[in-house]
Amino acid sequence: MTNQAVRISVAGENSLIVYFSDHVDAAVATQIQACSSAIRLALGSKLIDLVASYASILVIYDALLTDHFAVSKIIRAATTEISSQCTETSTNHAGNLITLPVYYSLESGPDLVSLAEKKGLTTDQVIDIHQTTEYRVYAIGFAPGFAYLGEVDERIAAPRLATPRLKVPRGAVAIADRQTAVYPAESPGGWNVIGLCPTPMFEAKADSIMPVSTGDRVIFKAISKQEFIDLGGSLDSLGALK
Amino acid sequence: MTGLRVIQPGVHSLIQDEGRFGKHHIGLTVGGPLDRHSFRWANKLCSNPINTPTIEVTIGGLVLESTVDTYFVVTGALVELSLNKIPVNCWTAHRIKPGDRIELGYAKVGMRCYVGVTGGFNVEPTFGSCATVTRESVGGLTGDGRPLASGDVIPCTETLLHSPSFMPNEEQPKNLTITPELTSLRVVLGYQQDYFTEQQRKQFFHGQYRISERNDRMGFRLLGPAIKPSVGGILSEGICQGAIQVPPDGQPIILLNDRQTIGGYPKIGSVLSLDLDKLAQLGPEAAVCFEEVSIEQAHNLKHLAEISFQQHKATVNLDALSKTIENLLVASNPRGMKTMSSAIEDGSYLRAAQLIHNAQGKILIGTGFPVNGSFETDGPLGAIALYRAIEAIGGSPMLVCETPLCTLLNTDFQTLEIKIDEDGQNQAQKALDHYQPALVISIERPGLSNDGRYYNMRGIDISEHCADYDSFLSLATCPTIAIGDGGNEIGMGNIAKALELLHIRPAITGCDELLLADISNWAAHGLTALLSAISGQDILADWNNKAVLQMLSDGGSVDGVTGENTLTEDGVDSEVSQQLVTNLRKLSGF
Repeated sequence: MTNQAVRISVAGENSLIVYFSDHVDAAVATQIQACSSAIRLALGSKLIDLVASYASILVIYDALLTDHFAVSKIIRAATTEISSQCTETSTNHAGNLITLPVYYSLESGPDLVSLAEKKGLTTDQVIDIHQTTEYRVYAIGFAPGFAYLGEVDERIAAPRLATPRLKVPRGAVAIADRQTAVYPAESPGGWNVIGLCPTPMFEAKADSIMPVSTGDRVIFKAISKQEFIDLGGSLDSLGALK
Repeated sequence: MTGLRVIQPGVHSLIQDEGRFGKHHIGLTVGGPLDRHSFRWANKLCSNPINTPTIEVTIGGLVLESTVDTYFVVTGALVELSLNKIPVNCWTAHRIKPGDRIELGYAKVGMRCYVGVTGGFNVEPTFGSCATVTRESVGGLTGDGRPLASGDVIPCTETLLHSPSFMPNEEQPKNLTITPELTSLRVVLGYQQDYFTEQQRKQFFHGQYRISERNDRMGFRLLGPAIKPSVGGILSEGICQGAIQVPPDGQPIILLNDRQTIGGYPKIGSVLSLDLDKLAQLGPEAAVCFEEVSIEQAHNLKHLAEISFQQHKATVNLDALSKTIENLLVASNPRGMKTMSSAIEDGSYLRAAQLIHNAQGKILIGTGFPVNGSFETDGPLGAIALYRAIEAIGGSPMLVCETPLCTLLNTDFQTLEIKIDEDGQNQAQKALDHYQPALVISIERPGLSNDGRYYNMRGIDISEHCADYDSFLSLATCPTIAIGDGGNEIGMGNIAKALELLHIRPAITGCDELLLADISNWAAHGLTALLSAISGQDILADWNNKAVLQMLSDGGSVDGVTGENTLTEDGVDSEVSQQLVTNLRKLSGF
């Protein structure tokens, strides 16, 4: 990853967007993670907010305290410094590793069968493949606590449902193209649901609001129905999925 | 718990502060007022910090009942507003008392109103803000994103220290007075602008769009010339306020406060926040067009708008301010002045302040209440306060008193000595002829009683220590103002009938404007507050009550009630007066 690839563009009257790449890449994600911290530090109270995503960082600044010239300069300095560091460190060591338990079953994963059929696999193979990959949290958005995890193995990647569901239950583990996610709350959604995760993904009142942050690594681990219930999982809202 | 009870929530009413910032990393959006300009003015007119929670009322229909004594204001869309069924103005702070009912009709021009109260609503923040985001189940009264519902009580506390202010009609936003035919939205190009050909950009900037039915706090979908970017989707990325995203059908969507924080549609640029305030007030079918500005212009416009907002002071409602001050100054009522005040027409302080403000020439200020060869602290301190206020607004004051007070004051102030042994009328006439005053003021001067003698509050004859200042008022051809706090002072002739209720020897000398206060010195501060509001000058800022009392005390003053040489006025500690000055300064709008 060379610094020439970093491109800064205006997003709005008080926002710049920094593009690092045009594709999803673990090394880029590591660089974005490091740059986000550096930009936060350098802008201090002039930063209003920051959105790190797959291949970009949106930097929202206080336009009454600074301007796009000054902010561009800060971003340039941060990206130059980080890209020289990133070549030296292995990308595999970035972020925390979090294990999320999943109750995979036909009961908790209403799209398991159709997905397996589409991909020419058995449902057990789909479950195995989903657990073998170490995912990275590329972005958090769409809804509070919704973490976009990538990249899903091509063998189980599947497009969104033709007709989105009106209700996807809290904890649903789902796949859309080469992304996977755990729904933090009940919401409408069009992803293929293959299981349920009992770990709360967003708790407003908890000390740790989310178990994961952008840049973290995630692996899924199959659990039994009993373990799911013991861990606080609930099957109550599954009716809507049928 | 006191507050405003929701009788009817209206179409859609949400608690909103400026918004929730710094939480995008956990997927939370901003929320906050869609029309930030009207929101900020609601708080300005309530003398609140700008980030104070208000109610955003979409379309209208909100009915509230107060259980508290405070002020409220409604800004934003043009609606019929009533207080206890009586129509009242928007963009104007109104006093409400327990039991009062506020009713908003439905918006005639614009879409969103902001209801603010002095001191703000006390709502527990969620993730650092009380902004309600229903889609995220975050914020608002209960922290779960729920809109206001019947029976809710939005907590707020009693706050009477407020300068009732308003925004004159001609200064209110034009787009909220008459529905605009076409609203131009200024755009900074950015994001995937290169994915749109020159031809498509031309179409975008020359075309007209209409607001569709699909418009809410997340975004406004427009209908008009389709512009199709060269790619249908991009890697999901952060979305800023006002971003214009173009889905595959080519119809632009302007993303607003409750937007998703990331998304995968191409964006051509973003609308300036100043113009989002106007967009927020448009409903379905309204026409908009786009105008390109550079990021530098956008930066400039934002700064100019901010400076204009900071400098634009709310106009103080002087009649209401006068009434508030009149009530405040007799609230503790040690000598019955609260009862006496009903004998005086409302607005006396404002009329007196206007006389001072308009005076073209010398202003004589007579003071000094003799006590055992000395003088009271009440009177001279107020005279000095008035002297300084008059100087501050460019007037020409002069203090009039007998010795020993005159000797003490003449080093720092212009003074005129009046003598006890001279013929009063002759002495007054000579001074009036010489100075040709534009105004004669008396503050806490003993006034002649009906037997031609002077009496103190205990009914003791003090005539042999009193010079005649009454004649200055009775012989003056210019307007006269008199201030008193007991009934035996010059000016009280105006309320002779009412004074029969008090067990004192009342004074009979009258004046044009009589001002009452619990302590006469306080009336001077009250007048100064009005002079501040009229002149736009922060005159009360430097008042140091203790320092003036110290100066008088060093000159041998006594407290009129205790007879002691202390830093007190009528038995009241200097700190109390200083606090009153702080409160009056706040009321004057500073």
